[in-house]
Amino acid sequence: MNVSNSAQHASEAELRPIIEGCKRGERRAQQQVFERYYRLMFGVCLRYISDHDSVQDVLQEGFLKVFSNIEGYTSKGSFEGWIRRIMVNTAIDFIRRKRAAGWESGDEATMEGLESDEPLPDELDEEVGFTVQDVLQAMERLTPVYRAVFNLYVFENLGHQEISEELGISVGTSKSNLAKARRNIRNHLLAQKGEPVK
Amino acid sequence: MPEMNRFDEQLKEAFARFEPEVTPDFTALEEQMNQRADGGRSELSRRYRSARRVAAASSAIALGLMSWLLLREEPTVMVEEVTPDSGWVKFDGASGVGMSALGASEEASARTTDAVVIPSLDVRVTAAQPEEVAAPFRGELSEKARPSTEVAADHLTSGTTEASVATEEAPAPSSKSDRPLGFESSVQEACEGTEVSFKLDGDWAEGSFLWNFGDGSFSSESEPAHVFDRPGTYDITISVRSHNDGQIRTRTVENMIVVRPRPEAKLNWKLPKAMSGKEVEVQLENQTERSSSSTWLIGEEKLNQSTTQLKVPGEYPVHLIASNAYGCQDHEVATLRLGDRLSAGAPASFSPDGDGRYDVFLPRAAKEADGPWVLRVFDAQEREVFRTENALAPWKGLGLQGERVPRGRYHWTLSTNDRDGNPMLYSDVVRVE
Repeated sequence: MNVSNSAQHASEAELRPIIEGCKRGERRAQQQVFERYYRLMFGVCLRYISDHDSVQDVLQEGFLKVFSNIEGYTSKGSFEGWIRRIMVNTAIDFIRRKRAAGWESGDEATMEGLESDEPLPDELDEEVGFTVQDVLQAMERLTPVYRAVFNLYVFENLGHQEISEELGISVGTSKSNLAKARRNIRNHLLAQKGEPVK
Repeated sequence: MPEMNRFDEQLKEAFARFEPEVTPDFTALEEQMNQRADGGRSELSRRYRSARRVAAASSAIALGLMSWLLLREEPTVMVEEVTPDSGWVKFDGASGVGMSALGASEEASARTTDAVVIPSLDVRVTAAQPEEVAAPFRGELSEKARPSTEVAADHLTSGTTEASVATEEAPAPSSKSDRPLGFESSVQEACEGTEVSFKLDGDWAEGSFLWNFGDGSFSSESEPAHVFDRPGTYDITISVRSHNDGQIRTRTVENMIVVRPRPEAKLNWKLPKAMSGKEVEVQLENQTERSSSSTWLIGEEKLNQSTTQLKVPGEYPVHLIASNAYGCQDHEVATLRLGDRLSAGAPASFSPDGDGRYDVFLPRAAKEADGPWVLRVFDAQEREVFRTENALAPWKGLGLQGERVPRGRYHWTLSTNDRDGNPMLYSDVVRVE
């Protein structure tokens, strides 16, 4: 079933007048965009930042960027994707600022035990039952960088090269962080379910 | 592109369209943008100002209700004639008669507080116990006054000797002591929560006052105003200590004020199952108990009947002013929401051709509804071609007989409840491709 995606897809044409309104700086149009995407973007940012107040701040900053840069939005890509990109960048900037001191240091650099380039374990193809809340909980236990790497890779479809540039870490670190984050999350979810952790 | 595995895919699926239950509040952002725009006035801030005007108008309605009895001004949006009074009610021994059985039970409870310290006098005044007051008393005040009140010096406080002397010694008759103590109230019958004003007859400027409103409240002002919060019939007692002779005179008027219950306005509305065009007929329902009449407003506009046509989409503040048989009123407001496909999260079109893409139609608002909902689809002739109440049974573009419907535009309505639990309707058109 693809209804929601189709809703999103079909509404791009419908969105045009609203986007045009935003380009003219019309508050009403801006509010429509804001209210339409707020929750969805809240969900996106929640993967990077757990604290709701901080997410609100990031969204506020993000939407400011959206409206001040909307001239630069060409209708080539999806509008939602464009907004999402801005929100993710704002969230990462936020994490960077917050952890300005410790961003590059600490245990994000490398990890023991797992070769970053090693093939994905078979176990990752098994079904694991979970809810969004379970995953968010699991993510909360990760350091912000692990979390960011994981999110950029899995949800934003970035490659390690792009992630390393985005976060200012090495490609190797990105790979190892991804593997460790994924394993952590998966183990947490399995533990939630009461299954033996491999 | 990164390589994906089943676990990652599962996560992506779980988070697709994940929208936490948060409320977008545009005002903060708007403020910030306004600051950046150097205080420029925008279309939206005008809207907010107009919304504030509506809010102000609603409070004005409420205020109007409150003050109407007292001020007797024509309120801006009032329609019904209200209360039976006019002008100051002078107590002449006959008022308070015939004030119904309503007060009988409340009367006792209205007499619960009996003692109070008058700060300015340092004298404890003990109000009458109910049994001391002869029940049928309706007329002459002056005889009743003395025995109904017991005055004693308060030796616990640093009472002035003057007060003690005044109460211990029998006051010498003077020209003033014979003066009858009369008083008036602004109304004789009032609604719960309405302010009632009192004043003494004649000039008693040189004295200290204690008003007992019979509901446990007191005042030492010379012309007090008091709000009676509960329905009932109240005895009013005034004690005046004259600064000239130190004498304390007291009068009680039984059943002087009757306070009527206020209704508790409750409203609801009914929305049609089907609609055509961009307007919907809304049937407003006054569910106030013991309500005798009602006035409806949508925003600031008064309605002449309880049905009205409203445009979709829109959000409408619905005001109900309900009156009961006593003419007491209450005001309630609720927001009526009528949504279109954007707010319902529904696509403009879909293609039920079984290719696995956009094959079914179901607004997101239906999937995410907390309570029951009904989705109905109509063809160009306004015939219902599909109906579902189950998110697992979306519209697959089939008609009543299971046949594929022709391509074209189909009207749909989604009936559900909004987050306040009020009935709401989404309505729009979907194109079958």
